[in-house]
Amino acid sequence: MSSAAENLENRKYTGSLKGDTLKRIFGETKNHRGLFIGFLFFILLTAFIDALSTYLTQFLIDQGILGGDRSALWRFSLYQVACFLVNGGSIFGFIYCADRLGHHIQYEMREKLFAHLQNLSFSFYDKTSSGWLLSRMTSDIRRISELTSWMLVDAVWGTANILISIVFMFFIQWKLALMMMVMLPLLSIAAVKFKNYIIREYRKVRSINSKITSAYSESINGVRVVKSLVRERKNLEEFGGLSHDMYRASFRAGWLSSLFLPIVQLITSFAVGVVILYGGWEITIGGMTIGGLRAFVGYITFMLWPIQEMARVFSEMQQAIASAERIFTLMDLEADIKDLPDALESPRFQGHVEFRSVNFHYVEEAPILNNFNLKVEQGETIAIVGPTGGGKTTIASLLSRYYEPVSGQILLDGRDYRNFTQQGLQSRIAVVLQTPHLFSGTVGENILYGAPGAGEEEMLKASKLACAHEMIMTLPHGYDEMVGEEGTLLSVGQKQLISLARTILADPDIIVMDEATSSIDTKTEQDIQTGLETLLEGRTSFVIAHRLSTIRKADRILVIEKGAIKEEGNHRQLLAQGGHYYRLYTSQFRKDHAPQMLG
Amino acid sequence: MHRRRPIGFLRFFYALIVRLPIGDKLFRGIPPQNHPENIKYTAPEGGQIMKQKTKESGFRGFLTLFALLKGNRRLYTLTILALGLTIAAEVTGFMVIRHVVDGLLDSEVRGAGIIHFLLVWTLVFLALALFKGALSYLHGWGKAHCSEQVIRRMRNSLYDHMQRLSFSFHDSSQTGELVQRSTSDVDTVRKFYANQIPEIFQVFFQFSINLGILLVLEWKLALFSVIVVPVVGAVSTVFFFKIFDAYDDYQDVEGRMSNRIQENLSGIRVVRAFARQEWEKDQFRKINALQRAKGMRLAWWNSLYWPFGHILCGLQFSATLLLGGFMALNGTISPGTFIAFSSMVNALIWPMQELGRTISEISKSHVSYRRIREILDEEQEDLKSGTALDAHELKGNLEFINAGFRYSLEGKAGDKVLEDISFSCREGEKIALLGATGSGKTTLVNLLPRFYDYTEGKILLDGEDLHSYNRHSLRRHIGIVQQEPFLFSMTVAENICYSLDRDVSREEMIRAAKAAMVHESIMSFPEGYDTMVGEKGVSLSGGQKQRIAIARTLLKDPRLLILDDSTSAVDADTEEKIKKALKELVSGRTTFIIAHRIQTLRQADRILVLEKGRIVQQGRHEELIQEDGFYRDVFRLQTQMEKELRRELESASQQKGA
Repeated sequence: MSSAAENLENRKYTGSLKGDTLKRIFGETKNHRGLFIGFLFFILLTAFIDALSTYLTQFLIDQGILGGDRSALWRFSLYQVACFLVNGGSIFGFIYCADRLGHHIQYEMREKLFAHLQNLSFSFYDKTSSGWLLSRMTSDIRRISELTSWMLVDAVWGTANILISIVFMFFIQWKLALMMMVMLPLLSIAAVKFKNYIIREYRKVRSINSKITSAYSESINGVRVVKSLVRERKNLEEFGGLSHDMYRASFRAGWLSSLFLPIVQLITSFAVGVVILYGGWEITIGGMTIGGLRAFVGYITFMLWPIQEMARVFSEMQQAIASAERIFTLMDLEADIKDLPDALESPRFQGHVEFRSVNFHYVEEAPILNNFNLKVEQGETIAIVGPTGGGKTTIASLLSRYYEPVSGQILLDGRDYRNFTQQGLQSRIAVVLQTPHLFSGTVGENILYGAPGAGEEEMLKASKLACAHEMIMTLPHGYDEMVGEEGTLLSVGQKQLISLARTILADPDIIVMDEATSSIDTKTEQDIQTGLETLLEGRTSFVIAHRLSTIRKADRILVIEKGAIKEEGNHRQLLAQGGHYYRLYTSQFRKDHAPQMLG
Repeated sequence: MHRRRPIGFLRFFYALIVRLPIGDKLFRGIPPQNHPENIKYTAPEGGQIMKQKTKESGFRGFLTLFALLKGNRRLYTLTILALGLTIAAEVTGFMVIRHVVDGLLDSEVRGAGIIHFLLVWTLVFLALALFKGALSYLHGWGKAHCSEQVIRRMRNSLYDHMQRLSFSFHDSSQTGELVQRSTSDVDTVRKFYANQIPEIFQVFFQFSINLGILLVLEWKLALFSVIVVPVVGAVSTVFFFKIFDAYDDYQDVEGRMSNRIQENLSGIRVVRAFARQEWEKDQFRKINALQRAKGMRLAWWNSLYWPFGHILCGLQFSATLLLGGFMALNGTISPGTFIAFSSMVNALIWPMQELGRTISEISKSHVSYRRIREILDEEQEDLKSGTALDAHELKGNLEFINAGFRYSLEGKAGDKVLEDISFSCREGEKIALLGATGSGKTTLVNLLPRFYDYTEGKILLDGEDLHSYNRHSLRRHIGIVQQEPFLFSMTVAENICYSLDRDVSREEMIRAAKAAMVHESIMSFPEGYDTMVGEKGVSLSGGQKQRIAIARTLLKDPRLLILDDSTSAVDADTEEKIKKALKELVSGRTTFIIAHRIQTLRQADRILVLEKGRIVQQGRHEELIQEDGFYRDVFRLQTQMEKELRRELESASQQKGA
């Protein structure tokens, strides 16, 4: 399963008009059979009435005008009016049905995929960028919804229009109709081939366009460097080259596609020429009427458009199917970690934690933890130190059950944590992240995120405990201050304080902390320290520590290297050993402290 | 004979739903910019293509869209004329059919050899078709050429203009927004030339040519046939503005929805940590449902509009045909005329249905154009005026006399960022800046290359007012190494040679890289110096980036140097390398260092301690530790920590010994 996630972004999606995906796409319309059938019905009706009305004009001319029959003139005019009226209704019908259907499908698929994404594993999110997922949620789903509505409208309408017209042409003059039958496929093939060529040209344009976009964004992002290095002129030269390429590519695509219409028109005109020539002769020998000739010309010019559009519609359908393949692969992904069928809601934990012979690896060739054992008593604070890549974060992720051990067990209060539901378990274990993530909204909303049922008083209490209250009150709108998207309007220190309050309010039993202090000034650091102590008091906690003050105060320090505990003990003991910890500590000491003074 | 083109409107839906740029709404709420009287836009080819008075707003501003065609005006006019001729050819085709029909009904013609007659007129018809095809191709070719040319110029001017706008402009605008304007808004404007103008003229030609011929053929019938035209035109315009409003609403919600998704996805770990999946789903469902509701409203307007136009035009068509039919019966017009008539009425009425769309799209183009102009109307930094400097001319003696700086926002003076800064330094001296975040260190050094211009007091460089130097040459002689240097997505080599106008030999570049202690790291990359940096290539560590930036600055060989000396992000080994590299860089140049560490500060010739934009202390290390103040606090804290560490280690080793 995880291997599927791994390749998701790079996989090729063919978009071929295969049955399976198509079937599944239309399976999505099953809740809206009415709309689906309705719009197919109305679109066919529209195509039929259109052709019929052309057919009727024939009689208006032959019987009414040339036959000198006033009542026929009246009659067929009224028929025509009726056609327009019915068609008006029918057009309303298919637009209404198709549009609504599209919006319903879009809504439902987004809903489904969003819910599905909420439950996918962390391993999946480690490998998949949120930008990629966002495009799946937005443009891919939009394309699928269009496939079920507008693309289908175009395809069905176009096909029906051509077929129905041919049938009517046979009614009028079968020999001439046969001639047209020979020409039409030629016309269609030529059109599709040519259009595909143009579509390829436009693909080139798009690829240059994305280069232009990144050139813009890079020069804006790096404008300060550009200025300080005085590169404006050279940059413009380079960009000028790019925009010239763009000009050439899109000009080429432009004139090629302006060749397309005249070519189709010419072929059609040739067909009309045949109609005039052969039809005219048939008229003189009585094999056809003037009205029939007019109707024929009408049908042929009418077919011009669907033929022209077909190639575009099919290429768009291909894209939509490729989108659908992506979406369905995503939907078929199963979470790596699933609740056992008889999993329990978690009780409150006392906080005994045990790693029992835990083995873990992300990829088989590179084991991270090998027979890892650790026993932690209730209320202990464990600091985990060691070099990058040694397995510190893995231990934290395993404990929070973002990943599960490949073999071995993790026990909470003596029970394998797989006995509990993920949701229950994770709501009892708080994870305080290195860079706190806030959601756009107010400060208050963010604090309450951890415990939605909590009242205002509880919130205030928590933020006071976290020493965040004072900081929050200095904001212009206090707790109602908007934090901006991902909290960008606040400093990292402010975000950390708020996330601390959020965690205190959530009142977890076990705390996992991945801390970083590089962006906090001394004063804030002190504040956070007090808040942290409140949080850690009486709770079992694991701290991946960078901050010496925390390390020193921990009940036990684990030096983790290459997935194993190299040293274990409290600060004094480890310093006395003069080993890894000693070296780490002395080299880190100066570095950590100097910048902290100033922020 | 011409029937209406139903798939044309299906295609329109496509355009409406699929192709319109998303995120237009993101730009709403941008304050109107100041419009300076005159702005010169430097165009890439050296001409002043976009030089315009830019004070106009509204319709007159809109008219400048035509001025942009300059250089392609003649071709564009020919293009439009070709379109007119295409339509004339089409109408002539109707007349040919008229002639054929009347001929077929005329016994005289039939007697004189019908085959010959038919053959001749079929050939005439085909010749017309060829003529029309050729013109139609010319039209397409011409409009593609003109519109792409205009847009190419526009892209270039935007690009160049943006890189020449001031720091303050870039401080206050967001990258995403500027990129959107330069891409999707520019594309919308392209459509103005490539689609909208030709469409308007198409409707115009179709209407006037067909009507003209109709009037000649039978004026009463002609007038009768256009009764509905103004109604359809007006109604469709009103409708389309409605539809576009609804569409804007829809897009707005779409933007909010994708923000919501984005936030959820990037915060998914927090969502899981607090087990808030259900709540997230609820929130999403709300916005998703809102979007569906907006979509339904859009669907409603759409489904109402098209049948309305269809029926209206259909009734007009039927009525005209009926009247024409009676005229033909009475012999007022020939049957051929009747058939030609019906085709022309068709060509006259139905395009009106889409007129509204074009008009409302033009109004969209106008909005896009205005957003582009807002950028172009911003005043460029003046890079050229003032004294130019040769390298050896600049010595690097600086004097700050009560200098100060405040931002100005839209003409209004903002908060003071720097105040009353006075100090001086001589050629080759090292000035260290110390202070908390927001104390004004960065702003102070940004005054030197004139990224910002001081607003109060005076700054003298080599005895001359700093403002008298031209920015370009000033910047050429000032090197900056940032804490988090920005590298471009080019090769390592191109990044190192980035700042130079001249060609640099491989040896010279490698020498710089070696001096910057980064040569070895670079050689370990898959393609050495030709390795791409960034998304498409290797991702560099902070230390590597910094050293590449140092190499870049070494090659630039500036007289004045600004360093942001913060190495917190690198390990001890790298730190050592960076130190060595810096030593090389600093020697003999006037240097400003933003420093945190006593070790660095100690070596400076002068230390400036900043607090809230003012210098609170200045002097050498030895002087400052005698004074009561921030510097001594920092010094004590740092030395105290050293002591503490030593104490701890001692006690630990005692314990060990015990």
